[in-house]
Amino acid sequence: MLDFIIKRVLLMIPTLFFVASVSFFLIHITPGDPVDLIAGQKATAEQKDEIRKSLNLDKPITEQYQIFLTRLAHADFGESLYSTNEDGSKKKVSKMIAERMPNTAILAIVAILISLFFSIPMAIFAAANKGKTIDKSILSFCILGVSIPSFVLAPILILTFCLQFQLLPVGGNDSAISIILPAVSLAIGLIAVTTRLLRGSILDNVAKPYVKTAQAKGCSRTRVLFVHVLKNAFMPMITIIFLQIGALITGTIFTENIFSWPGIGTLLIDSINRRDYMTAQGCILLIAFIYVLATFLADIVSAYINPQINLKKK
Amino acid sequence: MKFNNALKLAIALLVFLTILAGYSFISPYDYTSVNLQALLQKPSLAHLLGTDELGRDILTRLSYAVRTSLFVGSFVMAFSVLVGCVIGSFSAYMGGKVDLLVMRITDIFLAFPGILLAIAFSALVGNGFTSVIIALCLFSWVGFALMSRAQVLEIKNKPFIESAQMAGVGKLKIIFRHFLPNIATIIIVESCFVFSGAIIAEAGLSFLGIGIQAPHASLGIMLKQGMAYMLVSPHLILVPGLTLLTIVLMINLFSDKLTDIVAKH
Repeated sequence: MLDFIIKRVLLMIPTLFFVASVSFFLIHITPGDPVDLIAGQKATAEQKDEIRKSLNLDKPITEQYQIFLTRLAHADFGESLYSTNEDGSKKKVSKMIAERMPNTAILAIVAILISLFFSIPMAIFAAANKGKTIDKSILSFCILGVSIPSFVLAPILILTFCLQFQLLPVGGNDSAISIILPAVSLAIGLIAVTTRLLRGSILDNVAKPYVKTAQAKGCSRTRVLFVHVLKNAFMPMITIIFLQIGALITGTIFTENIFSWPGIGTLLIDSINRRDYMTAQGCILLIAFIYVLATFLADIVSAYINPQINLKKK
Repeated sequence: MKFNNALKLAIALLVFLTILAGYSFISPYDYTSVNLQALLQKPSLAHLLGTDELGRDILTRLSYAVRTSLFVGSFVMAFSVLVGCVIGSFSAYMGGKVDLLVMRITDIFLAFPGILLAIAFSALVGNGFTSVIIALCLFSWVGFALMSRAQVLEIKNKPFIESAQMAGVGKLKIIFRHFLPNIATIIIVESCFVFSGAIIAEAGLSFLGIGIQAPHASLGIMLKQGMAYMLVSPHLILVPGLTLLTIVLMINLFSDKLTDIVAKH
């Protein structure tokens, strides 16, 4: 197990390094002066000089890269180009991210809880009624849920619950119920994926010999399903939930922007629109790191649950 | 029976898309022409799906938007199939160090969320039609590479390949003539994913304002602009939203059916 973890950590390092390097070099591969690109066409010569200095763009590229990596190793994403503290000094990107991160985390956690709350009963119900109308409608819902992009679902939800029935607030983070719509629109895709998976997993397990043994011993149908099958069927779900954390974090970029939820996703798009290059880079790096980390955890968890397959594969 | 269903779906999708995209050629309106006398009109005979906040005909704009989607989807798909399959087959065929290197590279790409790479690319390099396509091509080939590699490894040592080798057929010719035709079905399924994925990603990027830019028509731009007028004219978001959903849903159903067929064989 320890060997496997060490191997996976060693594999993770080049990935993180690649992600960081891509975000560094992207700005340099475009033809022309990166300062023009960051500052926009309306910037004055002084503004351009200031940007050049604050991004170290006046230094040779190897030195810039060195500074960038050293900073990153200290979790320092540099300073925002435009946002300032109360005393007028440039705001640290890491500080801006730290202010927004809890909101994104809450949104993602609530979305996961909602999806578990709905997908587990739905999967059990579908599996118990395999082939019947209820099973088919749940499966149809799953295909719909996987297919609908969040930026199509969210406006429809807003239209129904905020404008038509005026039950929920349209956006922002003013009251506790503000989280319902963004979390639900984030959760729908997750519900679809997990329901389908858990249903399949339950049906796989039902066909296994241990179920026959339990039945032969006089176990009731309900007891077999809930005590014996569900425990085993739930195992692959744990890996999937960790994998979905990565997908959720990228999904929040859309959801947060639609519902003006003050998290990393809105910070990212706002800073792209304001041409705040350093903040945008910081957000992209953070989201990528979370994604890579979630995939890593999913691997570890699945190896822990089922050591046979995974340790052999690597 | 099953195959018939898949075929029916594919034909329905093609007809739907052809009619939608084809309308732009016969439409009496231009997709950018502003008509301030006819703002936010409800669907009528003159404007079948109504008009938007600048009085532009929504059906015409939708038609152009679908053309944009189709172009982006097809281009990204074609590029990914070609590049991915060539890289994957080549890697499996060569084996050894080449294979190891290619696998490490695909590992890195897999560990990175594609849409984030596209956002980073659009944000840092610049947005617009070409950037969107490049950004989406950057990561879409990986699935094809992995898939074709796995398939080639499986059939690499089958007798018909060996006999081709013994007959003195060149390596490239073996890849194109013998490997690729053998993995066609599974490639089509993955193509569906990439095609619908690219359409969603383009709409998403445009929706966030970092993809294709107005006044060009894209489903994402229409959704984004429609959100501001949701209260008065809900059809402004329903039309592009449901169109996008229908396209994606039909592609997903088609690939689902196709997967069933592949699994049966």
